[in-house]
Amino acid sequence: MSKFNKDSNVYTIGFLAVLALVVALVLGVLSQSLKPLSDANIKLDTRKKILMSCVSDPNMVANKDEAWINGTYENSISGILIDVNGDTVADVVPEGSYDFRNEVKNKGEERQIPIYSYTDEKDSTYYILQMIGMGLWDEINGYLCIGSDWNTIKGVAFDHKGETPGLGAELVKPWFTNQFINKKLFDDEGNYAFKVYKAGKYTSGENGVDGMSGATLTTEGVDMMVQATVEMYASKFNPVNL
Amino acid sequence: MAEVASRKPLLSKQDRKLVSDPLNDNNPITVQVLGVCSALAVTSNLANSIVMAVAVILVTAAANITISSIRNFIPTRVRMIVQLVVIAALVIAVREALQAFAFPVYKELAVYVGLIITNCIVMGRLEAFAMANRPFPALLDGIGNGLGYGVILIAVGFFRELFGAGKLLGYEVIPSAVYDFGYTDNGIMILPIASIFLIGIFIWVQRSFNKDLIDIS
Repeated sequence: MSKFNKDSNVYTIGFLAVLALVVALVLGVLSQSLKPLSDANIKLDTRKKILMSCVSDPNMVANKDEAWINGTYENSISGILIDVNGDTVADVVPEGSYDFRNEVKNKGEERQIPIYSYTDEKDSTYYILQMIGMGLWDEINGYLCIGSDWNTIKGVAFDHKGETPGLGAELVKPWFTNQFINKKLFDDEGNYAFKVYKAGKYTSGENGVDGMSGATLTTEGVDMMVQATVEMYASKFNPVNL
Repeated sequence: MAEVASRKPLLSKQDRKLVSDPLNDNNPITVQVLGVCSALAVTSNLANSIVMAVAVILVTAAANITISSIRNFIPTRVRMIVQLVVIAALVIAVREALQAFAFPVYKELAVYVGLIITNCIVMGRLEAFAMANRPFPALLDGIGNGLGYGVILIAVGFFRELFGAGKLLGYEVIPSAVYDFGYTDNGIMILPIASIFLIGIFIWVQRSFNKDLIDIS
């Protein structure tokens, strides 16, 4: 059986090279063939998050099926892209091809950021801003829905890539996100005053929410993300005193 | 005579033992105490446990059969690297499949599915069994160990979801009348620490029934 020397250097390197090629090929084919399905899932998930940030009962969105989410989204949400001066540069946000992360992180002053508007059953209009920030381990992101006064928070929806389950990953849970509802970003003088407090430090007031215990850095990440979002959309918040 | 002797059943006694052993006498979690990390983390509800169990069964079975098929060609000095590459490739495949076919589960479990790569059970079986046995027994061994892991995971998930949330697979199973009598869900059951208690209890129960496992030394 031992026609070749299994322990020679040439064989070892050759074996690893072939193995690497085969594995890369198989995974590449698999990834490409499943891409349409996962892209559709990501698109649906994005729509779901946007809806969760603005509807009056976010928790019921989580249990709805695809048809409901797509129907409601198409009926009540529309998006535009604005540039750094707040001028509209596109009448729709191209779903799938628009890459918010890339715009914010790499384009600087050239960036185009989305504003979605949501019209509820009573014909009130709300604006939904996209957020991105850093948690403890990895990116956190989400949507911030505010009223037409550009001050009162209608709701938020967060997502994360790798926060610790039970601690930082609690940021997606209703007990945390529901606290944001009807809170205000600015105080009476128009200064930015919103704060996500360290767990247990928040007592009362319309400019703050309580953080997640055991997840100080994720809590700070959420606080910084909300502030960075207000800065990023400064052209729409008028006046802005950060 | 020779004919009779060569007609073996599909699963011989040894083959059956390969699958049944890890379920009890040689359970990866309760006896070998491998893979506990993920058993603590993903078992907060039954659905996640089932998905994780299925994923690990698939990975152990496929990794065992792959490594066993190429065991005569693997250079000894890099055999562990080869094992890791095979496991990593399979785990990525499972991840991609979850992302395409079970997105909500993917979002919840993506981190842990990635960690199957480091699950000691998988590599342990490759090193201890697949490297020295033919593909079919290796497949059975992989399925057996995956099942042994999965059974514990599902049992932990069952109790944690039942007592932590009063639900099973998301459906309310504890009638509201019981809550009216003052019953409340047990908050500690939804925390990972509950799994330590549960697994400890499983080990205790298993050892009190299975005399082979009692270590007198």
